[in-house]
Amino acid sequence: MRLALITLILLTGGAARADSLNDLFQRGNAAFARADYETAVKEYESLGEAGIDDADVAFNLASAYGALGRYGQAIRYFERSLRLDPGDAAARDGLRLARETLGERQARARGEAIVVDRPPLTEAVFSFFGVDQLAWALLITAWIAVGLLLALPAARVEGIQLGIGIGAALFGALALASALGVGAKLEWGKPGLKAVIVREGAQVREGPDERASLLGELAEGEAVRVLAREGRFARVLTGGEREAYVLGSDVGEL
Amino acid sequence: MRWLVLLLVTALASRVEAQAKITMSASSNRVSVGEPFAVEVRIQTDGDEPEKIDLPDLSEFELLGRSTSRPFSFSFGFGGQRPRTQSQTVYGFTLRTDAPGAHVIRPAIMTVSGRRVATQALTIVAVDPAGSAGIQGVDDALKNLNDVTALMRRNSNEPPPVVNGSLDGATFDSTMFVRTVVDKKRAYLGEQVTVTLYLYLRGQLNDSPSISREPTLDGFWSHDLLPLQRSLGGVRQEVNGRVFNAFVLRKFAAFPLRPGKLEIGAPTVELGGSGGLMDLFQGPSQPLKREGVKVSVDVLPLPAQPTQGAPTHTGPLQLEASLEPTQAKVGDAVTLRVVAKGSGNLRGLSLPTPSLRGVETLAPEIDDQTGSPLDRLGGERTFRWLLLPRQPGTHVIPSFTVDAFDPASGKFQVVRSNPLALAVTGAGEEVAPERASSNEPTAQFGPVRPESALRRRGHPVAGQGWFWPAVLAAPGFFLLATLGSALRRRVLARRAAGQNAPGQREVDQRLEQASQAGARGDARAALGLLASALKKALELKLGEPVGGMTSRALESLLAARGMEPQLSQRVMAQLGALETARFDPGGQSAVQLSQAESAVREATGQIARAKIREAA
Repeated sequence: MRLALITLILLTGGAARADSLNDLFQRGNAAFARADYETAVKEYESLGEAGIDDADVAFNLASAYGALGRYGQAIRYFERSLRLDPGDAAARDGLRLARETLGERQARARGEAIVVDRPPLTEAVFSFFGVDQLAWALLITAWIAVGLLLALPAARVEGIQLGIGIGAALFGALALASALGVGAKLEWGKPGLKAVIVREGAQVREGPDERASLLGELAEGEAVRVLAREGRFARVLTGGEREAYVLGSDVGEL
Repeated sequence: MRWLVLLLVTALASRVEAQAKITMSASSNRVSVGEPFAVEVRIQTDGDEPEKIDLPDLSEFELLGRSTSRPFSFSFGFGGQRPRTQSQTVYGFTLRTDAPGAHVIRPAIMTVSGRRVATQALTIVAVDPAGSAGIQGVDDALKNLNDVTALMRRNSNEPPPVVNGSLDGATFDSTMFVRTVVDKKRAYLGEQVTVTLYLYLRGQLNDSPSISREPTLDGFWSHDLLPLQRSLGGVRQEVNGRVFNAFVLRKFAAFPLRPGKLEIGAPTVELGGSGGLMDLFQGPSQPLKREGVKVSVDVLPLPAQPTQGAPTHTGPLQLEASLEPTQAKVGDAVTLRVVAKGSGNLRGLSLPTPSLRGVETLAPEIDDQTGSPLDRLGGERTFRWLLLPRQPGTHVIPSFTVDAFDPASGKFQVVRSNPLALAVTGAGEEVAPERASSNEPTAQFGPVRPESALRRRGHPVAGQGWFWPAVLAAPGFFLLATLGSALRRRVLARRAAGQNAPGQREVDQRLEQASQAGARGDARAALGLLASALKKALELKLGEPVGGMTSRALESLLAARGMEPQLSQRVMAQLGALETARFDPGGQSAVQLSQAESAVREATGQIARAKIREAA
């Protein structure tokens, strides 16, 4: 009886929570539909604060930021959406649109802009696969390759031996490629977290203090790596592989 | 004000015994009243020195400064000819006039070898800024340039002095080096930094220097200040106790596009090696190559601008707006023209397209007219919008506003154009849908996703504890299986070797006995023992008796058990030979017996090591 009561409470509580999260999502959509993008951003972001890390939510949030003209944030969330669902063509189009529009704005303001930010080769090759897909592929192909290698001596017929040998090599290569993909997705060997500058002209300083000497500015949408957050500042590694500090609110991790 | 039109008036002397040339030029033939300008008289002679030089009367101008430089060189001909002297004299004047109107500067005249050579006269038109819309702040800005020395330096090729015997922007070399000089090490965002690239050379410049690597200008927008085609004139300068000729290779205005420490990259200059006549005798000469040094500029950000959202410009600026015509009918085209005049990077200035209710505004056409008097870039940027009135009435076009930053005072000045009114008559049309009224690019995002699974944040499979052990278990398992298999084979081989040990001893005994029989001269016995040892070795390997078999049956058996054909044939051949020799033992010498014994020993060893299949 007691167990049944606990189960009932857990079930009803879970359903109520799911409803409220969905309400937030729908309220965000309704705000977007009436062009109240600020409200839409708030609703979608509150989902993130509640622990939701969903490709559709990230896509909607990116669209709302894009509609507000905050293209750095739009790039950040389109990238996150693609990380969660690499095959999402609409998110890919949205990311390209945000980058191009931001580039056009920067070109008009400064006379120069980097419109296309090409990812490294390994990222580009595995861009259509999720990290979980690659991890499962690695596990399965590695075991298949081993199974075939072990079966090879048992084969008496030469043709079957050849087939098993080719199969083992193929699956071994697939396993290696999958391992490379997992490494690229998990960013092995790279310090910190991938992030995007979300404010135009974010000031770069030598130390985590507004009185520290100014080293330069970073453009909105520029890719950096956040090494650590120190108070109001974030220690970042810029594209030129230089460590510096920017205001924490000027940078957003993917 | 129209900036720099370089007026070059040249009078060339005819060739007398030697060449002589005199030119006079002004930095601009149209100046504002009170605006400094430069006049330069350049005399070049190749041979005799001028006997007399009559410079023009400049008394109607205020003389702000003057300079004279005399770079010269000697060249010696063959034999006992007297040396030829090539000399150049440059007279520079910085002038100003307070009287508007046209001012004529009479020709400069020189007398060389008894002949008079003159330039043409120059006409300078001074315009009253009050009457002709002078650039707001430009006069003030130029007054700051009244440092005579600095001004004259800009007009001549004279490099900046060497401070305390040390050179900045260069690595000293006793024969030739490259120097990069910036007029300021600290500048505001968008403020002009004038960069000059010098070549310092001991002796004369006999070849054209080439810049094999231009200085990089990452973070700057640059504009060349010197014409592409020009002659290189050097000036003498003493550096570290040595006299060099300094030549200006490049001069450009660089406008910082971002704050922070920006670097002007090191250039590389090559001289010579182009293949002269002497190359025919001495082989091709190598060019002299020198690399400059990087020069950095601290770029300060601009302070908070007074007008939120307004475009900014660094440098003096004035805006003038006009309509052509000011009255129109509905549907007639009207041109709205805004001219931004001033100095600085005008190409970086953009104005928002005005948004007018009842008037359709098309995208602007932009035209630039720029120049660089006194090496300061400036001029005009003209924006032209085509307006199409759709509704009658008086349409007011509000002022255009630009926040112009003055680097000297470190403050912004709000510059506004005059507001305009457009009177439109006629019947109204349906108003065209409003175009994007600002320069801000926009894009259509969405639609958004109507549903979401609202997945929670989770760890990727590859981040879970079991994953990597499970992956690494695959190659680990393979290694273990391979090692186990190898171990098993080795154990089996040892076991088989242990089982065959008594038989192998018997083979060895028979071989030994055959050797002894051979030593005794009993060839028949020796040959029989050798054949017996060979068969015993085969029996050990095959695990079955072969004594009663015919040669053909034995050969078939060996083939069936997978013995290598080469070994099989060798064994069969040896057995056949031993059998044959037994019928003629007397014909076998001791040496032949010894060779047969060696061959059988080798064959028994090979049989022991041979891989064969198990009996069916």
